[in-house]
Amino acid sequence: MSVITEFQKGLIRENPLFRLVLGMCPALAVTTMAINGVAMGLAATAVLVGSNLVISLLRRFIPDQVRIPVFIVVIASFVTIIDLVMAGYFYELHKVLGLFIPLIVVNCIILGRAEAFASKNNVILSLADGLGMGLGFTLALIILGSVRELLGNGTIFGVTVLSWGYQPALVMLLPPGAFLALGLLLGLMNKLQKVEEA
Amino acid sequence: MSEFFIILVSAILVNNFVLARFLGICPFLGVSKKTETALGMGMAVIFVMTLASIFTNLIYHLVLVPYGLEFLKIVSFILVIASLVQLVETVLRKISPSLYHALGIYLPLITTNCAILGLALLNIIKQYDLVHSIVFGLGAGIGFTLALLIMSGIRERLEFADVPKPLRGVPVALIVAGLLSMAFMGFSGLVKM
Amino acid sequence: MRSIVRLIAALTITCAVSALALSVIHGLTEEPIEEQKRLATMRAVQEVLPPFDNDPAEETLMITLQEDEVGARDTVTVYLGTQSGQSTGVAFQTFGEGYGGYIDIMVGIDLEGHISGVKILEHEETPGLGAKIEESDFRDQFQGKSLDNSVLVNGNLAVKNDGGDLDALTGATISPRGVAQAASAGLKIFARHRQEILGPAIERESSTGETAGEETSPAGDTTAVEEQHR
Repeated sequence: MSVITEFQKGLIRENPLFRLVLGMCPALAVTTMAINGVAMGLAATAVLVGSNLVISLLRRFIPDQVRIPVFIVVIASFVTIIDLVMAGYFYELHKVLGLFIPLIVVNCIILGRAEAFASKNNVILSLADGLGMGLGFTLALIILGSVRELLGNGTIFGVTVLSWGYQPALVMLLPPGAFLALGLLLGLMNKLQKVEEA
Repeated sequence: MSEFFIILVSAILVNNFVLARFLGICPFLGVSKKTETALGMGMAVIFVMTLASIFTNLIYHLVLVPYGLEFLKIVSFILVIASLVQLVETVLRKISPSLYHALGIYLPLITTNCAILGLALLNIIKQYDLVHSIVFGLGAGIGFTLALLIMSGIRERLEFADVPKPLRGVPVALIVAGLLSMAFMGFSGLVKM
Repeated sequence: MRSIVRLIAALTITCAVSALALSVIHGLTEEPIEEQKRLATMRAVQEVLPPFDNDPAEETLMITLQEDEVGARDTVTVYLGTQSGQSTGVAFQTFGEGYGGYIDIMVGIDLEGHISGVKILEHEETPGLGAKIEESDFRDQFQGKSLDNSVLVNGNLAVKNDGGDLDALTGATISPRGVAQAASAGLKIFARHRQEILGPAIERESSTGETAGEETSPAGDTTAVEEQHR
């Protein structure tokens, strides 16, 4: 159980979105453009690292029966902090992410890691776990966002990649496209994993 | 009167919480394998959503706003919702133990159902008063249940279809959701605004 | 019994610490947040006003709409633009009904009642389709339009599909219609409240002219007096 291992697992092998299938709501909603995926991913990472840190520090003092409400209050507090900080200093991003910043509270990834890891491990490992899972989530959002932005708008991170003759498939930027893109990506991940295991 | 109808139609069909707003995806995928559980979950969600609309609205307007504490809304809303779910759990255990066991782990998971918190926050954004919030909550719950039921019907049949191995389970469910979402987009022009 | 006390204590302490921490952060971010909102509004105002060299934020006026007026809030904040002390135009916020919800715009109008600019503030239109109302290609056509020089339908600016002379977007008519609605509301509100809005500004200009001395022609003075009595 080393720090590096705990950090790495969240990136690919136990990627929260693609492998653990958590955090789908924000993933589908904000990934109309790759840059939004980055913003959401980093915001969620900030909350995850913060809550993992605090919960791990307090793990011996939190009585078992009320641990879920306590976790929730801690997570909700970090989310509120991120929400206020973004509104004050990153106004445009805050507008784009909108409703889904407060919804980081119910992002199953965060409560999931608090329950499964931070409440049972020391601070250093919990930080590594939080950072890895958060960055893995961000990576997944970037991939999903890039696919949708590329097919739906011909650009990636605002840079036009497909131009002449390519008619953007607008549906990719709309709800149906989100579901389709994620479903096909998950299928692809499954296929790649089978190939890896074989 | 007609504005309530518009709110209902908008929440159930035009801006369906699951298929258009991306709220409640986790339970949507998790509980939509069998129609009976889907119906049970749907009923529980309608109940929690309507009550959540009432209590979060009251807390916001009677406590947070008068004392300038709006920034505490995320923390207080989620606590209200968690308590409501706990309440529903206890009540359900007494009234219908079989449904309680069928729903299993998914019942406490209603707390992390982003649809409920999303609903509470949307009520504030749309500046709905108590009555409008209740109607919106009702519509949101019904819309969620509708999407859930359609999904479970399709997935029950999918069990017998020859789905390619990498796509089995969640991937194909998402693709089906995409098609459903496309279908629901047809309701777009139904209510003006 | 002791264990229940422990439970309640743990929960209460957590909530108290949380509330405290959040109060602190709230206090620290309250101003930056207000500032951001203010900046966003002023950016829009500056984009739509006719040429100006003052700070419109310093020259604002509140007007109250009458019962039958539509397309804006009950009380509207009007921003005034001046150049070398003379008023050049105003900017304020109006709205129209789009496809996915209301469309809020900032509309700039010059002294003769022509639109000097339109900027989309908030909308819920479909990305790639109706959302293209944000693009300058669409918005530029509003420049110069007034209630006198355009084809009006029911007294409003309208898209070609509805009998007017504004271009819509390929594949999206309702969104442009909403913007036309909002722009018309702006023109009509300006027409009805013109005296109220420009009156004080013209008064101020003529009085500044007085203190400036020789530059003021007597005609300037009498015009101001006449306007007051109208």
